Amino acid sequence: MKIKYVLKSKADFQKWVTIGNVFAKSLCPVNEALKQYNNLTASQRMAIKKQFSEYDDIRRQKIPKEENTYAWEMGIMVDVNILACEYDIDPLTVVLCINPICRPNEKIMVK
Amino acid sequence: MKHLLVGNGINIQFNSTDYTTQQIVLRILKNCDRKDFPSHIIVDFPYLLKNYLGQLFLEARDVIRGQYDQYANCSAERASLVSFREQYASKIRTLRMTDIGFEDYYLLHDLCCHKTGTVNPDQFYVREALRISYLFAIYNDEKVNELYRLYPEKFVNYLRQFDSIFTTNYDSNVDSVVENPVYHIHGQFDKLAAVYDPTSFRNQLPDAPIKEHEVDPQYFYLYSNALSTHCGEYKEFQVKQYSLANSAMEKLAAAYLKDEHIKADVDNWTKDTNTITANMGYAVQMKAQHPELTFTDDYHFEKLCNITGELVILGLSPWNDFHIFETIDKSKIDACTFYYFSEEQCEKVRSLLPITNQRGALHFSSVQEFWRTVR
Repeated sequence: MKIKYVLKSKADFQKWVTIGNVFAKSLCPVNEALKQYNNLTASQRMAIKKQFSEYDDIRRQKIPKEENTYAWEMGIMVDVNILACEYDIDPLTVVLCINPICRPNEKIMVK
Repeated sequence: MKHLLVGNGINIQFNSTDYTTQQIVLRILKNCDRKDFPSHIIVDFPYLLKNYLGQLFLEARDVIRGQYDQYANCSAERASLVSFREQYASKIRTLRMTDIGFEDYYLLHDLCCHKTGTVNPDQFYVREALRISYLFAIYNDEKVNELYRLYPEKFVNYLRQFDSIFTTNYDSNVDSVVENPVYHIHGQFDKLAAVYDPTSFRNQLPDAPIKEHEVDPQYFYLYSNALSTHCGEYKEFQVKQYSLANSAMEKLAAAYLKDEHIKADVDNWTKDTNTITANMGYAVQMKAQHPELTFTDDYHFEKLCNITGELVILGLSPWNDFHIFETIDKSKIDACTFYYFSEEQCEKVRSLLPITNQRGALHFSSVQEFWRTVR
């Protein structure tokens, strides 16, 4: 797949990582997460998204519906940490792959 | 006499992916999603364990920042806290759940319990769930016991030259290839913990714990005597408690048989409403009637204390289990060879074995070179 860069405003980028960090709860510098995100191949990003979706399905079966939102958030954070370990990236980078603001073959530049 | 002490390094040598600290924590988390997770032994709802580890991970950052210092309530815990901070402070911004060694999660658990006022038995039950999930992950569906099949002949011959082998591993790989004794100083997957052993001294008392627990033979190893805590002092305490209890019980039984007043006192203890006092009374009566009953010491600590001759240390991290090094330093060995991975390790070992080092009995050899020669 051909790689191309897309430009994003600082505001859009900040919004993206802030939302991502609600789930990742990471302390990683955002520029480091962006660097890791750009270094992932398109197939890696898609695989991360697919694997997370599988964890999501399991979580829906395992966590009772009556559990509070925090239990769900915590479950997501742990699953994101599992994927972060498997791909040797930060949990925030994992969430950025799950909720991308560009196509899988694109890298992001912040203007 | 020639002795060998081995640690997890030999497992990592023959499977570099599955038995590292990171992979074990990863497997603990992933195991919680398995359909065959032994919920009946570990926790009814495995997501609770997964989420609790997540919560402990988030607290770890506050622990590093010093916000839990006031909750460390003994010297062992304070030392573990200092060591925890030394190990992780520089990585705080990039720390992931799997970057924290699993035994450090026990420290986080204890500190969180102190902060929230959670006490035993709840504190103990949760710690036990953590410990058993750790054993489940290490056992790895029995794959850990298959590593010996990868041992080259040269390595097997190397192991066979030792009169005895001490190991901190719970698995039976070394046992599978040698005939001389192998002592599991932190317990082993194939030995039941005393509370689950129907023949143990503890289970001869009226309130035998075995009455409340049924051992599932499919998961025998989860009921084993494998020790796992966050600091060497706690391991040392657990390892030594059996011999101390035996010594105390022998003295009490002797006094019970010899002195009528003591006999009357002990007999009265059994009527006490305090279970511990009553149990002590029953235990002394039983020991007096059956002197052969002992608390089984499966950790062989005294054997390690009493070794003489030469000791070789292979695949053991000098950053954990300081109590082992203290014991070695107090022993009467003529020579000790430590197989090192880095110069940093040598420095650490010199500081852990000051007496051995001062008398010129401490030697170092490259572990990489060692593995090249036995491959």
